[in-house]
Amino acid sequence: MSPLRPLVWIAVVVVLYVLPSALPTQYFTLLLQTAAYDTIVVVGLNLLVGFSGQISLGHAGFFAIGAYTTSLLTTSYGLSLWLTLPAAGAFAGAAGFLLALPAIRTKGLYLAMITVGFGFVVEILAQRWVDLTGGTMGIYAIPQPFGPVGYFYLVAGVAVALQLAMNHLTGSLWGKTLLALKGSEEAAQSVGIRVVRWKVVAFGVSAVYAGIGGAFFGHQNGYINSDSFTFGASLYYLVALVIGGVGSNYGPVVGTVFLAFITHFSAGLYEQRFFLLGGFLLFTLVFLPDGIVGTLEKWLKRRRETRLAPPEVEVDLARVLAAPANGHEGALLETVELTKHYAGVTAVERVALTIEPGTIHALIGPNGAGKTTFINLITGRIPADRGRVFYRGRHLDGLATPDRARLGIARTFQNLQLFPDLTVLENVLVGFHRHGEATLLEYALGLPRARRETARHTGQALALLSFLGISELAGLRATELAYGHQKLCELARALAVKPDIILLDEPVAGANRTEVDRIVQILGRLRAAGITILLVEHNMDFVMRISDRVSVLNFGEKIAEGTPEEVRANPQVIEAYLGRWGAADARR
Amino acid sequence: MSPESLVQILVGGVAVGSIYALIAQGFYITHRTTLTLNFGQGDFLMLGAFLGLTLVKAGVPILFTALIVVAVLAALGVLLERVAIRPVGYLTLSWVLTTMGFGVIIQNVATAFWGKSSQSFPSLVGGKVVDVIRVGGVGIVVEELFIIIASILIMGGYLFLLNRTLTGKALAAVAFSRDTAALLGVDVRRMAILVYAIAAILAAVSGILVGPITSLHPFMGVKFAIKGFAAGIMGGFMSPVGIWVGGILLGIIELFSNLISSQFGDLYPFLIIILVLIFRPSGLFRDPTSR
Amino acid sequence: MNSRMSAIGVVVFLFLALALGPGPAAQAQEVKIGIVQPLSGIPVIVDFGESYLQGNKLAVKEYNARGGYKGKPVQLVIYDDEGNPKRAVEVFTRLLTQDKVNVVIGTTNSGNVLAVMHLNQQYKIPLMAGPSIATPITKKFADQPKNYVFRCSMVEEFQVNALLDWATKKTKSIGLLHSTTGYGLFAKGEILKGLEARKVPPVVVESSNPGITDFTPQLLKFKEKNIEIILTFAEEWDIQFKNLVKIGYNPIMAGNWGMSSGKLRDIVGDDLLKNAVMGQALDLNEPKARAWDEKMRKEYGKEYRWPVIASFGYDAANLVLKAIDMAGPNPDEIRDALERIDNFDAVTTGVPKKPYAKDDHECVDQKDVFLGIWEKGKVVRLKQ
Repeated sequence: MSPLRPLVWIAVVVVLYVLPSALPTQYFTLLLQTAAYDTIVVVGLNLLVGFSGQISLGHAGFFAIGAYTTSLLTTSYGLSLWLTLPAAGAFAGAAGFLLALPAIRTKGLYLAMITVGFGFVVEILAQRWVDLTGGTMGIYAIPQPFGPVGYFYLVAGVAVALQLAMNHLTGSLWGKTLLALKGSEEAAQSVGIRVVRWKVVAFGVSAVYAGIGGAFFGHQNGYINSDSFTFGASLYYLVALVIGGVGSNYGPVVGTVFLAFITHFSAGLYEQRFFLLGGFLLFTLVFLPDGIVGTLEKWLKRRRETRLAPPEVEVDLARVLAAPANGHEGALLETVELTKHYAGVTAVERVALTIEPGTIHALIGPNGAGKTTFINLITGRIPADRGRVFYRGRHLDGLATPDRARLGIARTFQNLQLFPDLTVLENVLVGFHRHGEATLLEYALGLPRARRETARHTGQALALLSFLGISELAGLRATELAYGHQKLCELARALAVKPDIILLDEPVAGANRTEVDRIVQILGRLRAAGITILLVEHNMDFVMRISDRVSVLNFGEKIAEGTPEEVRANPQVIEAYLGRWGAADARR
Repeated sequence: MSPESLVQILVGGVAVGSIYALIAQGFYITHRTTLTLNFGQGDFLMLGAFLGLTLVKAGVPILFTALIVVAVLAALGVLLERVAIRPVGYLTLSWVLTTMGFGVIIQNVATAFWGKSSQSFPSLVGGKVVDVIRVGGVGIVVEELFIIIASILIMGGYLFLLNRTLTGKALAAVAFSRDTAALLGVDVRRMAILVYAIAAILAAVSGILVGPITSLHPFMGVKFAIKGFAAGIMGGFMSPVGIWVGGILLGIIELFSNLISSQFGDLYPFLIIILVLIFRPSGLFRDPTSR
Repeated sequence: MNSRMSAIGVVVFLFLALALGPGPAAQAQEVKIGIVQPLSGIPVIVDFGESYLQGNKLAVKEYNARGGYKGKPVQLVIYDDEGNPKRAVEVFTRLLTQDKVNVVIGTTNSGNVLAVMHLNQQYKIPLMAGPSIATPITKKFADQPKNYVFRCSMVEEFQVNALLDWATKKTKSIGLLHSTTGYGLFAKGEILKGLEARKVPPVVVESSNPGITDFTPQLLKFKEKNIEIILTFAEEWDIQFKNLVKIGYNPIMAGNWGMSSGKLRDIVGDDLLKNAVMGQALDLNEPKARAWDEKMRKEYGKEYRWPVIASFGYDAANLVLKAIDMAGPNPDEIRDALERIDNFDAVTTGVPKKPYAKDDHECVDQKDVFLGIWEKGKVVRLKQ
């Protein structure tokens, strides 16, 4: 943490304190208050859009819920502001959870539609349910505490606190996890992240922020009505976010203040105002696609900092990988009659496979034989039509991918699914997910347990990277690496799960001779550390060198199994490969 | 309520629904190919209606009016793709906001030329204010009939285009995998321009048809865009039949909701859409060519 | 993206933002009138706002042409409240604390007026409300020593009474169609009360939501009961009239002054408006009104589309200007002068020579409001 940082915050507080005196009319104080609570809303929206990759075109709905909650509680029940403000956030957050839970299966535009619908439902209810909300005539005599300047201090103070909390959240492992699932849900699940839960939580937190912002709006003028919670309002927050810079910590406040400026300056031009707004929007999005803050950050060539300072700790690999509890007799992983059909194509047909613990088991076969599908069936990414997968003697039916990962089944991907927004180190850190115990609140407040955990995992992550020979690349963006190194990074991430078995999908595809040798070495050491490996590969040389056992798939069926020598000599196998092996063998 | 009245409402629902279907069909072609769409489609429709209005009032025959409006809007669609889609990329949601921004600009150009109030648009056939055809006791406005027919024709056109023509296959290929399509010789950039032009042409046609039966003013587009979007989503964005059905359904739901409870009538369509999406996250119809 | 280009972009931005400049500078000794109206948003609301503003502007233009106030022209500071109360509070606060105007005229949405009135009362700067029509506006601060809220506009209670008196005498087959906006719900309350007091309960009551595209379901319900007079308090009259043709139904549509909009006539034509009856305060059969109407047409051309709203706006501005002439630029004294105005020459038929008094801040009274019908393209008094 830079020593300048606390000074900067103190300066911010001083500026905020002085602002109302510098702009002395009540009009400006009003604008400042508005900018403050709008910022709160947009900070929350940033979490949702920029970090969890979900969209909301109906955030005014949560804003409204917050505003009405506090207005009704203070006017009808005489409750104190200090109670109703948190209540407003809680109600809005609850609404966020309730909306997200069923909505979470939808993606992209479909999710956008649900949020649009939600926004309209809230607006309509606010307008028509006159007995509750007063409709367009609204609610009057809402308490306005502390006078205009005092109120600004209150709102600004809360805004600063909430911004700090968000900074902690997003800079921490919690935030990195969100970015991970934004980057690749599949990969996130493969390290045990229960994506659904995380998305719902992100939605909820975002809604809490919006509700608190709405509550401050409620007490600003002593009056609210349903005209303030339109689709246009939801768009306004989104526009502020995008102009400021999605995914950057200070994008929300910059965007909000910027829009407030434009609104202020263009008020007199009532004919051209919206023309200007549309023009600004278009201009910003085209020329400054990362928003104002995002562009500035890039311009100043600042890399995305990991607030996670890597301590140089060399840890024994075996301890890192925590030798799997081998209290189980018999096969580690077993499939029975595993079958998957697609329309017109049988991908996997009644495959029975047994993998003994502590071995390297290879799965080979011509292209399209069903090997990747097989792996997907084991990890639960696709449901089987028939048959079962047994792990440590118990079947995995009905278990979702993240839960299977949490049992100790890790994997890599044929087409590389690194988390593009994270560094190499962060990619691996996220892999330790199932071993983390600190909660959301601990991360938000920067409490000790969260920090200790992060430090410990960071050390172990570096150890893994060291083991794979890429520790000097730890600070680079994962996508900046050479192809071979990216594959190693993904392997490190899978190892972070501390799995009992790891499923490698074409680990040496596209690798040169040296890289292949390295992987052979690595796999050997992993086996020595007690980890079971199932690998899918085309490189026969590699397979023969490293495997204890080989199974062969062709057109979805297992046609051979045995030691590498047995399989190599098997005529059916040779035939399946059209004799290419025979020729390669002759040359040896 | 008499059966005759119920049929009247049903017919009205189909007519309104066809408008939504037309908008959704405008979204469909660009989304299919580029995974983006023009959130200002409603504003394009509005512009088409106003341009058509001006030309018709100036005495230009309806057919020429249509051709001119189509040409102008097609050019605008190409401009939109160049200015609001291509620079911002398909992976983020920036295109949602850029196309909206473009729409806002169109709205304000429209207010500059035509003012902010509602305008009158004479019937396309004959000079009456409202041209009604009666079947039994049920009345239908002529333009409503045109719109219903148009939306069906366009759905048919899409089905034909995508399943029978080479261009259609190319469009589907680009939707499936841009890089592969490019490697196979499909000019991806030209496809993007093409679909945006098509979407704009659809907006032009819809605008001229819709003008006479709706309240015509520069800010009418947003409402249509949202409804059209909702219709497409509910029906299933990947299926030409789906978005048409979605539109019709939405129109019928809307009118019958108003019949049942005029106070909360516009609440139910949104609730129903949310429900549909909860149980069918990709809409009612699935993509006929899905993997 | 090239970072240099981005830098240029940011600079251009800031330049544009600053070049737009802040609002009009505050100058001493100059008389400033602030005006707030909805100048964007729902078209019919914008029609209200723009029409009232047209009347304001012409009055001020003529006043300045005559020499202004002590030789200096009166300035107008105009803001758009977008029909949104939050924005209304912002621009009213700006007018009262930043621009420091002497008096404020506006706005259209009654909800907005009710939300900002206390600011005028607090800063002791008079508000000439209009064209908002909610009845309580001028009554809220009536019990205070000085009430700073005046109105020059139709009052809802008055036109509802006029309509109900006429309708209940004509028939018992009456229906009510209202919108679910604040205004519509408020009107519903007043009408149901009024019908009950006249012992003619409505046979059918239907509502409509803002943004509605088709009234057929509601209208069919009226048709089935053969309703003769539909009291329509839902703003989308053009759609209602068109739908009536579609279902072949021809009741009398009676509503508020909204149906006297020239835009409505443009859209649906004289034929469909044959059976329309509306609240009015401007009789274009009167020579004075006619002359003024011509003047407006010359000034604004086709933009001029709603005589009665504009006439109230014209009179509102003239009342304010007369008060300024009488008492000078001090807002408090302007307020007092308004109550004293006698011998006022109004354009709006219903506005008397002495519009205001200490306990009456409405420029029209119940007896000044009448019913209008469309005749040869103009709205004139319905002869009863």
